[in-house]
Formats: sequence, structure tokens, C-alpha cells
Amino acid sequence: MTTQLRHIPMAREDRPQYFDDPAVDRLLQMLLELAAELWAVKDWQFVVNRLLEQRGVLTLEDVQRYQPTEDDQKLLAVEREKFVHRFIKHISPTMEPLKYE
Amino acid sequence: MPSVTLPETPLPQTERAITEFLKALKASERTDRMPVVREEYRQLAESWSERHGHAPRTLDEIDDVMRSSVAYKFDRALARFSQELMYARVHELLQPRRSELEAFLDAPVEHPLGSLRLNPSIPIPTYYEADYHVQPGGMHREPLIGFVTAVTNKVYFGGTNDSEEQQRLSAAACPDGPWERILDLGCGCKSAYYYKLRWPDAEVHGIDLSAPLLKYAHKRAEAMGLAIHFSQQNCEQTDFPDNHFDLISSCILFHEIPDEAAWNTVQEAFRLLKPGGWFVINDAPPYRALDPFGAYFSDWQTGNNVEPYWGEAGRRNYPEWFQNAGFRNVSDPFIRGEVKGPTRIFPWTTMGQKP
Repeated sequence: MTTQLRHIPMAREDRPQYFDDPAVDRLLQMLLELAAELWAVKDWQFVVNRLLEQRGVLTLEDVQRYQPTEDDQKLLAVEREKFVHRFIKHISPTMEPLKYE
Repeated sequence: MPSVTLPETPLPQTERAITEFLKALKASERTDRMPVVREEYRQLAESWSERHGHAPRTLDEIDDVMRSSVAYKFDRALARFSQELMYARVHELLQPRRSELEAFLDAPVEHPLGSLRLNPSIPIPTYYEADYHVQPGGMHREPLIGFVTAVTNKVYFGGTNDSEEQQRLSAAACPDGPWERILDLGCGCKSAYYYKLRWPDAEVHGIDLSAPLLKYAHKRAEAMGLAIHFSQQNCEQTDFPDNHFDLISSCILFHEIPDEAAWNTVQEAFRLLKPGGWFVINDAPPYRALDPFGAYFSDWQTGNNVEPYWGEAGRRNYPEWFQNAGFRNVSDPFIRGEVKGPTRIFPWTTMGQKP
């Protein structure tokens, strides 16, 4: 077994490139981000559906008919901005990290 | 008052779901991805062997084969990126509670069973500045590292260390005792408890370079009702007197330190042990215990998971080191004849007795 003379990173920013084209690395990061969010949504839906069923307070039709209020829309906008940023930040390693409230 | 063992408090719904997703992704390395990568390697290695007149043996040769494996690239890129995503989400979760959690860690415990001795002026060796495991702030620059570790432990090991099996097994691997005084080297915030649980009457000490890890460990020990004495010290040179301990053990410390520091630590353990006392290293298996492909996979950690000393540690021969330091009755799974072929064994235990 040979001892390879090679660069060994000490810092997390010093990240290796996995694909010949760095664009593929970034695409995979975006995909992973989406996959994680998608799972979180599916999991959330499962929990909400369970609660709705158990308490018998809502039907699926109620959900379909609901129109977000102005306040709802503000909250959703904040969450949406965070979500888009998580996804988009992989375009460039120099992009600012997510701002915490 | 926040709980010390954060994972035991329910995570918010979304974070729970995402950590469970990442845990499943991590587990898929073993169950789904590894067999595919191995098969792709087998096929690529065949044509490589035809071209070179022999099968790939060295890490460089295997690397030459793996460079053409698309499955391997995806598998490893996912391993790295999921690790980064995990830390990003955990930090995002802890950020709003930062001041509250830091104040909690800094507050003294009333009527403690054990103790905490910090040394703010301790020199931190350069090697310890690594962002180990891609953790933001590494082991000692993130004040909330204990809380981070508590969440990520379950994700990082893909479900194989949910109950700190590595730490439990490391204590279980030690000679039976009973022991009067025990030292856990590089105790972090997970391992010292298991020595105290196995030998409740022993005086148990844990040392580490990281003040944040020690603060968390102390809080956790007290919450568990365990009298453990933590102090911030460098394992290479401690302030304990000669011939002081009956058992000195370490759990996954040695692959985090370079050769020179590791050798100094073996010698320091020898100094600290009473005659007849035992020194035990529990760590990842050496490359010689793995088949070439397994060694190649293990070596990936070095350059890709901020494990700068993993490769050095994988090539160490601890039984030889133990002999050179003066230990006798040295044993590891090879010497005990427990290695029957290519396998993955954790913890890999090397032990020796001070004459």
C-alpha cells in the first residue's frame, strides 16, 4: 500500500471536486437540498393528515379551498425566500450563507 | 432550562424530518450504494487488470480504477454534501437559541458530584484546528459543539451509533478490573460515562482539549448522576502524577491526531499508569485489517471528510508502538487471532500492560 503524497484539507471550505465538471457537483447539491425539503414536506403532510383525521376537524376539501391571508402570505414569503436561498446558494461557493433571524 | 441531551427533547417537526432523511441517506451508503459501487469497481478492475497485467493492489491503483466509476462519484459526492447539509441545518436550528444555550453551559452546577477544570490559556496545537468531520468551528471553536454532536451523532453513523454503541463497546473492550482510578483520553462528550457505568466505584477522569465539549460533558454527567472529573488537558502531556491510574482508555481519539502526537500520547499513558495498569486504544481498524478496496474506501475520509490524520492512523502499527513504549502483554485482534479475513471491526482494540 503506497503512502500518497497529496493535499489534505484542514478546512471545510477546502472541498474536493467530485465530478469532472464542477457544475455537476453544484447540481447535485441543489438536488440534495430539494430532496431534503421534499421529504420534510411529505413528513409534515403525514403528521397534519394524522391530526386532522384524529380530531375530525377538517376535510381535504377545506384545505383545497383555503386562501392564504395577508399575514399567511408574509410568513410564507419568508419561508420561501429561505428555501430558494438554500437551493440557489450552491450556484457559487462564494454566495453568502443563509441569514439567520 | 434547555435539556442537556437535546436529542431526547423532540426536534421541531421539519428538522426531525430532515435529520431522519439524512440518516436514511447515510444508511443507504451501506445498504444500497456500496454493493453497486463494489460491482462497478469489479467490472472496471477487470479491464484495468487486462491492461496492466495484474489486479489493482495499491490505493493509487484502485484510485486509478475508481476515477472512471460514475456510481462512486455520486456515492462519495452525496456522502460529502449530505454531511455539509446536516451541519448547516443543525446550526440553523441552534442559532436562535445560541445565547440561552451558551449561558446554560457556562453556569456552574450546584453541588456537583464530579468536577470541571478548564484551562483558558492551554496552548491549542495547530493540528487541532482542523474542521473535523466538516464541522463548522471544528472541535473547539464552536461553543455549542456538544449540542451539535448530540443531534448529528444519529445522522452521522446512519443509525449504528444511536445509543453510543461505539463508546459503550470501547468501555466493554477494556480488561475486567475492578479499577480504582480510570482516565479517558480525548473524552469529548460521549465516552467517559461508560467507564463510570461499568466501574461505578472507580474514580473516573476525562480529559480533552476542547472546552466546549468538556462543559457539555460535565453538564451531561451531572444530569446522569455520574461523578466524573473533567479537565482541559492535552493528552500528549498532562498534569497528573506518575503511576496514577489503573486503566487508561481512549475511544476514537487516535485517528484525530497526527503520528507525533499519537506517539507522545502512548508514552504519556505509560508514565501515568501504575505498574500492572492497562492502556487501551479503541479506534477504527487499521488498513492492514481491510481488503485493498475497503482500505481505499476508508482512506476516503482523509481528504474528503476533514479527517487529516485518518490516513496516518490507518497505517499505524499500535502493537509495535506499545512494545517500544515499554508495554507488555500487548494484544490486538490480529494477535488474538480474531481476524479471519477482510472485515470491518469496530472498535479496533489494542491493549497493553505496564510491567
